[in-house]
Amino acid sequence: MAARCVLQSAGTALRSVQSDLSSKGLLQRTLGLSQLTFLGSAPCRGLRQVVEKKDGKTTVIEGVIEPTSERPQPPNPTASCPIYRWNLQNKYNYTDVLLLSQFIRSDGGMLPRRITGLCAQEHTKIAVCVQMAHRAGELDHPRNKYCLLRCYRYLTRYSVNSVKPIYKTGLKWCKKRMTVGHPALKNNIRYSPKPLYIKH
Amino acid sequence: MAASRGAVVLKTVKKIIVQFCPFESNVRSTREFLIMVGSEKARATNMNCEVITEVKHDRSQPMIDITFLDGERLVMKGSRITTQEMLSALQTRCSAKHPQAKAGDKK
Repeated sequence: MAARCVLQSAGTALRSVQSDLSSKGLLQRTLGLSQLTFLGSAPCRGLRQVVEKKDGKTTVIEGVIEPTSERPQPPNPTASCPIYRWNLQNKYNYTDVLLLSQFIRSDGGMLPRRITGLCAQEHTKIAVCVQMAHRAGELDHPRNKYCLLRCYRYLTRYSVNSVKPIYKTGLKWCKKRMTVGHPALKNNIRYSPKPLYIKH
Repeated sequence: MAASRGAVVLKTVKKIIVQFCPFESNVRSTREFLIMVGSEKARATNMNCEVITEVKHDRSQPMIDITFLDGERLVMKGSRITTQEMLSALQTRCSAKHPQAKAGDKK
């Protein structure tokens, strides 16, 4: 549902193009910090290019930072938390992998709060959603080796290796409920009058 | 990151002037370049080459000025270049000027 670019992702990919040394010159694009890093609030990183200029006998080599492409303005730029900046407070779920993947490390763990800039409640919500997405098998990072099951959705609440299947659920007065989802997401926007149903 | 091929070879270099302000934040690569160039091994390759260090305190950008034996000058503004890039630029120019001498020495 929410698939917009929340974090500043310009220049995070490290690209190094090594051209022939015998040709015009060294042209390497690597990650570079612009001079705004010490301002603190929005460190924007641009791609750096090594430029070579020749005037007669003198050659000048210097590094030039390319101007970053224009990013769309968030609808609420004055908020401190990125989710509030884009007005996504109660609108995401564990299925919104594109949003959650912006806050995870390459091995699947969560990024610390001081790096992402999230507020406490949103950080816990996203951590919970990331955990649910891992258990549901939606994120690519292999965390749990388990056999393919048909209904991943029902594994989101508890760890996959800790639950056993409920063979006899019981009659209505003594039903063995199976919890699905997490109470942290109880404030999510719902278009039906019923509250969030956790005990299935 | 140390030089991959050992020390720098300064056969065709006449003079190197490294000028930077040590209290700036972007001088790390220039300082490391100075260490590589001013080391004993690099100086041993060419005893006539001078390595001059100018330490300034006027918040100016770091600069490296290399003068070769045939009069060519190479100016590198070190604020946004890594040490490896500076060294490789210097090495390519040196080897381009004297490819036979270098190949003969290494063999």
